[in-house]
Amino acid sequence: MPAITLVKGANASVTHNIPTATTITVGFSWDVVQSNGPATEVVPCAIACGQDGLAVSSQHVVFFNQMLSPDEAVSYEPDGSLPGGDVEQIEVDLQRVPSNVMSIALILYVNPDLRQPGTFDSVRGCVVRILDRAGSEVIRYPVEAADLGATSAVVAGELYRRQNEWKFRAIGQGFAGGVADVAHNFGFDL
Amino acid sequence: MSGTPLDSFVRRRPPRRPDASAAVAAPSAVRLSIGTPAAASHEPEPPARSIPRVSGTGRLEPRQPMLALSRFQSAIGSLQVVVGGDVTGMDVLWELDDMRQGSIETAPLDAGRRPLVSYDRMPGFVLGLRHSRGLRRVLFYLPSTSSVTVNLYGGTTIACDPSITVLAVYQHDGRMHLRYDGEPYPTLGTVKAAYGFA
Repeated sequence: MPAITLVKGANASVTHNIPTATTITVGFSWDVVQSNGPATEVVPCAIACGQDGLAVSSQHVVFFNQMLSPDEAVSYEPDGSLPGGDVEQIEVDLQRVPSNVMSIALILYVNPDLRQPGTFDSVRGCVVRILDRAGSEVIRYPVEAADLGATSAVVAGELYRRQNEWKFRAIGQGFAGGVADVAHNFGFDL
Repeated sequence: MSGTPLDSFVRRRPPRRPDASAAVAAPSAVRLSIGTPAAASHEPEPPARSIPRVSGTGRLEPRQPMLALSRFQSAIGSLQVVVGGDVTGMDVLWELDDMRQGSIETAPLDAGRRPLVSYDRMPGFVLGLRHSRGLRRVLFYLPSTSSVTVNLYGGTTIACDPSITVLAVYQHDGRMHLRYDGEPYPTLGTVKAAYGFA
């Protein structure tokens, strides 16, 4: 079955498209335009949110330096180690997501190094995918470069509960203030 | 990305979490006879040694020689060391988690083609944190400075006692720890000897 390709604002059911899956992979891919200077470094992360849309806690922000949520439902898989061939991947065990987690925001941010950090202006081919455990692509959202521009963080999409199913929504909302804006928006301290 | 001799340190996968099934199987294979009650195995781990964490502003000094950073502070943006006064003789020693070592002149490039650590115009140094998990420790040798301040992304600022001669930064399991050292090291060589650098 071909993957469902979403546009900004659209959504698709994860549960219906992977009916037997309890664990899914969120794959992130991108290309950085090469230059002579330092390159933009993109970092993916996932934020487990409660009913209010805020992070359940700062420990529910999963990225390369905090690789597992407290409930072990969300885990960072470095260097695309799961099947699928993405640049980086985050695994979500949907059955382990506690009932107080209503959504999982999927973020990409530019590391704010003091030395020419760059922005998404130099990032191309940014894609977020939902894969089954075998690495088969089920849902794909190519983030429009025009939606990002000079921003340095983007909420690419979210997994969210809808009655008894999990769905994925393509969001593509950029933040000019980078990861600091993300933290402010989701209510946790850096 | 290729070409730099040491950039493999930024590509290595962090350790995976232990397999739960293996963890359960181990006790049955190793029978100890010290009579520890079964319930003891479920007791919570003892609290980690108390190292103060820092948020907002902090201070490194002889009375409080260590500070711990959060996982965010340890991995987002840069760690900036701003110095005042005489900058003569300053240097940096680094050691990766595979034990490779060097000074600021031999700092490897990371995947973003930024040196692991570099001079800053403030003056001082900038240590990139995107690949901090590949670090073991970084020593900032500051033999003659009159002020030293550490700035982190998010606005945390740590003032160091002016007597500091080595600001040691250790990474363990994703957390950075800053340590004050006020020993009067006359040369970089004495710092290397004291800290076990080749």
